[in-house]
Amino acid sequence: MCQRCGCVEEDGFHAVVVCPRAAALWDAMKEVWDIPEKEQLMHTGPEWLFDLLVTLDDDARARVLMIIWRNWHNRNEIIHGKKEAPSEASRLFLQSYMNSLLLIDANDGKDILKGKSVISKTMEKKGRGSCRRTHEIAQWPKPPDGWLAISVDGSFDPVQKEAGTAAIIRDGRGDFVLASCTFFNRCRDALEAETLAFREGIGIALAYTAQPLVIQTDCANLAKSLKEGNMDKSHIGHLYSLALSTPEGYQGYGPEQGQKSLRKAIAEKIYLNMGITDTEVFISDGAQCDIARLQMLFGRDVTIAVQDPTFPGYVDTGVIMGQTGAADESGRYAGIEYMRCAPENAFFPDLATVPRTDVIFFCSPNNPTGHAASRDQLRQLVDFARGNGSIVVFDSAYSSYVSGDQLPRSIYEIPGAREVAIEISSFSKFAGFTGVRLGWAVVPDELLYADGTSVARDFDRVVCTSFNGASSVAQVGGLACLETEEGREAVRRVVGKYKENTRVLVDTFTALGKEVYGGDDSPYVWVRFPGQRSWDVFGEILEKTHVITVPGSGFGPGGEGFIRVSAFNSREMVVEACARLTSFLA
Amino acid sequence: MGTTASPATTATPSSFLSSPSFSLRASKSSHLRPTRRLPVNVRCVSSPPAADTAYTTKVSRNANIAKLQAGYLFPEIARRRAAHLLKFPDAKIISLGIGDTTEPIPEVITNAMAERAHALSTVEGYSGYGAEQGEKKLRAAIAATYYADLGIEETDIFVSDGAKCDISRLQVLFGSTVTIAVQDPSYPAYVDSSVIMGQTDLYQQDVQKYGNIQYMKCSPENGFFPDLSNVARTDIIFFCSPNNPTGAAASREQLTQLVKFAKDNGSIIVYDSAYAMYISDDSPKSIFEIPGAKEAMQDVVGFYKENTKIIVDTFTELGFNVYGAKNDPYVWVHFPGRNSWDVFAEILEKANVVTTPGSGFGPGGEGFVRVSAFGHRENIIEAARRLKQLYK
Repeated sequence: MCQRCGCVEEDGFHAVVVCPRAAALWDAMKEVWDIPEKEQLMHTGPEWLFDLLVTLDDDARARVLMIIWRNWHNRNEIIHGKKEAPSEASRLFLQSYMNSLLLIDANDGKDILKGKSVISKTMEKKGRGSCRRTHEIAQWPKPPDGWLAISVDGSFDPVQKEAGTAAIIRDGRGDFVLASCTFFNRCRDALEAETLAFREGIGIALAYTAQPLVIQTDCANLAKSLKEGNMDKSHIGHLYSLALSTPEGYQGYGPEQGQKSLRKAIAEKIYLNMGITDTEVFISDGAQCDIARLQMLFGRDVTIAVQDPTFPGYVDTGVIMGQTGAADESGRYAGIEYMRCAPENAFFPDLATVPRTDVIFFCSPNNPTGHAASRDQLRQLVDFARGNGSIVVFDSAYSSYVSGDQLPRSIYEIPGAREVAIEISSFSKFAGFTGVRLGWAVVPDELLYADGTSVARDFDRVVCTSFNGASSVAQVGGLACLETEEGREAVRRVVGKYKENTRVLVDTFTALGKEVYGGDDSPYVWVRFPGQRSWDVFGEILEKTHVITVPGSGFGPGGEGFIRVSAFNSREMVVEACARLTSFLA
Repeated sequence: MGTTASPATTATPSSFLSSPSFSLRASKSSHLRPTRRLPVNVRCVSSPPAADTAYTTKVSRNANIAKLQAGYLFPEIARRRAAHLLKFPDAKIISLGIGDTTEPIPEVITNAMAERAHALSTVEGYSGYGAEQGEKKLRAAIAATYYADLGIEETDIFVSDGAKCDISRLQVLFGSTVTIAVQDPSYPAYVDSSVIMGQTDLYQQDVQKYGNIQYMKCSPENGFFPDLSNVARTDIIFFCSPNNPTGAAASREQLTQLVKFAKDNGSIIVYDSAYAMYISDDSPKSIFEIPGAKEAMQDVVGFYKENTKIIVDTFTELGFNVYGAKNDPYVWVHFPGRNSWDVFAEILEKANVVTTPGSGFGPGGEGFVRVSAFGHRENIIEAARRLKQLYK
């Protein structure tokens, strides 16, 4: 019920237009301002306000908004038990306010009043259509492509020493993204209110997006100081530090999660446009360590599926955690689902024949087979996981070896992956950090256990209890790989060298008439030696050529009959090795 | 729209209209185009998003992790510190909470790291995967420096990325069916890792303990060494000396008792000697000691020892009973009859000093607060001054 007239149920339109108290202000302003007739103020539906405003020119729009705002203010006064001023007082207030704007404008619009400079003005009623305008009402400044714009504002009550702040985020088309408002019951002054609003805007933006941001404030002092990096020790300087820092204590996890700058760089550079935020990235000392910690997280009672063949770490940690029974003669552990990946099925399992497991470990580009799953294959995998309510642990340690643009490099390129997948990766293979130790895990906010609890929250708990964060020095090194074009180009060159080595290996084995797999999107070639045990082949190659390879059965029973040869060596060594292999195998 | 959408404050006029960002996009032409319809569902959030998607996986949460009470102790302290900073943005907080060092690393050490980093950019100096047990030279140096004459060899040493990580790896090694004993109070990671591995029962709120763990009380009354005759046999005994948080360093005689207890029961002792370098008297630095251990004092350790003395003197002069601190950089202050989180909050709010509440280390820590001596000298002195103000 409207608390001002007590007659009807209140809605927005009633409160600012129809209610007799509100209507009285419209009448009062009609005498001094050029505003629409009452008949034009129609309730056309939920968007009546927009429908109204779009019919007006710039100046009339401003005047109408001021009246609506004042009516809303008066309505709030009643709601909060204060007395409402008579219409006359409101009229005088609105007129005086307009005049202040004009006076400011008379000084060429650049003066600062309360930290704000005027960029537009309107005129009192001088007869229809004869408004003198010397400045355009400012257009809402669009952010650059791919950026978002946050508009922030704070208001300060000097009597109660309280503040309200709000932030609204819009994209490059002006479409609403999200907004936030907060009340502070302890505020020192207007500048602090503006600064708190600024921080609020950054805070909500960074919680939602990794896109770059333009922040718009009407407080010139604040904008000026931030641009100049004014970090003095006054309380405002401290607030500026707050404004520029994000409220990590209650939005991020513990410091064990890793340096924010590195997490941001990973979110922005590696997961560009995939909606991954820095708070979803956990820096580690390598993918192998993350696998162990993930297994600790999952616990003993989960069932797991792995590719066959695959990197042995998934199986071995599962065994250690007690997820399996004993191994049979072929080396298969009871309780693990082995998903065969072979040339016959293009190295992608027939998911229709795979029973449900809680967790699916999937490595692509694959170690050891070198196969990089196609977009369609990964879509199948995500759909399969969704249908079964499983969690995919996607190991993308070799994603920088993918050639061209067609094949996916991250599971999050697949729609729906955020709700089913964790992605792990590492600096080992693209930055040479095998000895330096640095990697990361992405655990999206939407990934939930059956009871609705957050997987990321539990993972953070495990990380905080069993880990103290990656080495600070290693993290700085990781950042250098990502944050400049120089760094990114440098690691691309290193990867390129290994890829050239891989080409040499592929050519060598192909020329020898062998079936060769992998190599295109991976530093590994997967060579078939039919009818021979892979450990025997390994032994023979070692004895006769002094070249070390890896027997395929070490990666699972499905690896039997294959040898993995890696491209990680100097070019000369690889060429030399190939020469010896050619002599021996020809 | 029947409720207030805006906060209950009086907005100053300037904050509303003069913001250019709130003006509508103006059309310059005389024919006004209809605006694009904004979605009717306007979402206004004032907090990070709760998961409003209906989809969940069908994977059950690890019930062991669900047993854990709240977050790990130190991130929880950090959260409270951040909340305090939010309320009092100009507070000059001094942190004597987490045992995080503050003094720079001596150059002889960082030079060695920098040299190795640069060498990684050369063909001759680049190294990839190292041995998981650590570089031979380092293992040999550790054996020679800390375990000389104790019968410990380089091959007995596993270099790791820190004791916390080792604790968890040891727990993974031991598995879910071992029983453990811990000192009460003690470093939280022994208990928390045990819960995660499934070695424990549920948390019992009334006694603040997890079922199936032997908590060995260490208090002023028993000289901070447990009465082993009252301790049931467990597979593993975690023992930290000098102790975090109480600062107590076990004597030779006490450690002899402990070793005998373990041998009689066929138990494994996990002895945490992270603070051995702080020992001032001739308490044993290693469980493997026999008379005649090497001494190893460093400047940096000496610096923290002076800090410790300042804190000890401050509390003693204020009339508090103070423990530890002789042999490690933690001061264990008794606040009899008081809830330790309340004392923590009081010291934080009134003096802007971060400490660590004793109950975070186990129920035996209730009534105590741990004050760490890691900090710049000026901050230690300033903290001491504020504490004197607060408790005079």
